Amino acid sequence: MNEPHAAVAERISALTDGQLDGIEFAQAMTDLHRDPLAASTWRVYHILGDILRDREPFQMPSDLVFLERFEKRLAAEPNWPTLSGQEGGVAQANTMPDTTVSMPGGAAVANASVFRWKMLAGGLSTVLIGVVGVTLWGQSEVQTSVQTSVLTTMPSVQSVDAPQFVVKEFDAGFMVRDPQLDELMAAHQQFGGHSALQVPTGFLRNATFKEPPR
Amino acid sequence: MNALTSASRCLVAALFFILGCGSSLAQTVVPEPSIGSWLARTHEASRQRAYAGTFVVSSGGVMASAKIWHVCDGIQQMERVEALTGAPRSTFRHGDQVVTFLTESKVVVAQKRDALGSFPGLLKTSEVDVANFYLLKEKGSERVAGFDADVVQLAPKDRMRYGYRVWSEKKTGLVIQLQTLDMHGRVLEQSAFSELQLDAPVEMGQLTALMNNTAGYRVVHPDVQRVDPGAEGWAMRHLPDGFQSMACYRRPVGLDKTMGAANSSIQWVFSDGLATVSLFAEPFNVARHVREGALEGLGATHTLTRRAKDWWITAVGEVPPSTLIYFVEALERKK
Repeated sequence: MNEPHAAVAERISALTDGQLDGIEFAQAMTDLHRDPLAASTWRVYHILGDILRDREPFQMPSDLVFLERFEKRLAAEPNWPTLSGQEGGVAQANTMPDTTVSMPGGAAVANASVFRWKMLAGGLSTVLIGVVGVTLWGQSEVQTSVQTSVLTTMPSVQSVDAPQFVVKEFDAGFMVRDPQLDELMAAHQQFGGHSALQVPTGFLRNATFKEPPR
Repeated sequence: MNALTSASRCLVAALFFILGCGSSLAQTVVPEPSIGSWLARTHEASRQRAYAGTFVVSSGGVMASAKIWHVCDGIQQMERVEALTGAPRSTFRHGDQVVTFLTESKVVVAQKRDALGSFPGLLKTSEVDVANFYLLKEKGSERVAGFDADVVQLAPKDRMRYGYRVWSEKKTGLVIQLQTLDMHGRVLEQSAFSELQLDAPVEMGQLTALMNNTAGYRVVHPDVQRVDPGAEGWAMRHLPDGFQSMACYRRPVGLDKTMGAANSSIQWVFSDGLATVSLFAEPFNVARHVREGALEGLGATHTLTRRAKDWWITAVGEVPPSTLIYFVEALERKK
């Protein structure tokens, strides 16, 4: 029985927003694979999203062409070594009695039974954990000091439940970006032009400068 | 003798009087220009002159450039901005109408940006007095893009805003370079003409024809409505000194357009005349809104996110992070 397109479109929309997981995610992927209308809806949502974020819409059609070529090429490739005793599939791997990977010539893994390698690996792991721990401890101290310095510049504001603000990055060129934030920044540039420096310099600045690609 | 002495005294007194007048005259002849008149001159320059050139923006370690054409008939301004970096796109502005051609996807985004028409009326309102919060300092002359330019610094009088250094062409007042500075005088962002031709042969008719030629493109009109923040249930307990509410819009957010108002956000815009801050409020969504308290910066622009019960608040502005914190703290839900 065919599902109404509205329901499929809603699922694709949720997929585009990154809100699906588990069975719903699998169902949306099946929709994309089997239903050309669903694939078209997916492309439209991305184009709309890019326009809202004031970015050039990405070129999904060429991606699909590339994927098609890639799949054909992959199908033409000779078989790769598979898990011993079974012909293919990740889905069957859990039911396999023997999970040893077969090697050319049938030789066992060289250091499987050599105790000194295990000793060396264990020692190195301990050293690595120590180094990482010390580094993280140092970073948390630096971050705390930066956060403190920022909050001291904050004006006195009466607040019942002050939130915990975490400083990510101030004056470097790097930002942890997400599409939604890009969309709001674009809106700020478009509709936040209430500055005396906005006409024409600010307009030229906003029309010239776009956020770096992620 | 006494008569001579009296005459001498009169002469000396007259000399001192003349010198005093001269001194005070000298002081009034070269006054410090007011920010208002200085800004009005820079604005007037773009209303009277046609120009073309290459415009370069550097922010947060990222650089972008564009080819610019500007023409004005004394009333309406028109511009064409052809991006030289990033995805190919052409942006046209005619008054408050802005049209962007995305050439690869054959899409045209047409918008009305009423904020662009707010100057110079913005300076005439009693609510926004730029001179109360910025101090204009003359910094001599420099040569930029082949033109002699006057350099002024607009220094903030408190820590709620950034400062600016502006290069304006000597004869016309046209702004040819602009820097945004932090409280230590470090450059956060810079915009400048790398090459400029004043009185370029740009015709408004030509630009209008290009702007209206949307054949072969799909025209998109983003659905943005101006609204009253109070009627939408939002209020500010207090504002940072100098900042005033400028406008409030309802705009779609996210990618699902089937959910109507539930999936739109409010954008409330504030300005002190030079800096702007936008506060966005939208219903909290546990799947999308995961980075609460993130305070980030790119060049002069900072962003801050916070959850407030059923709402997700995002502040964006060309102001120090502490000012964004102030704004987010002051926003309250009335409904």
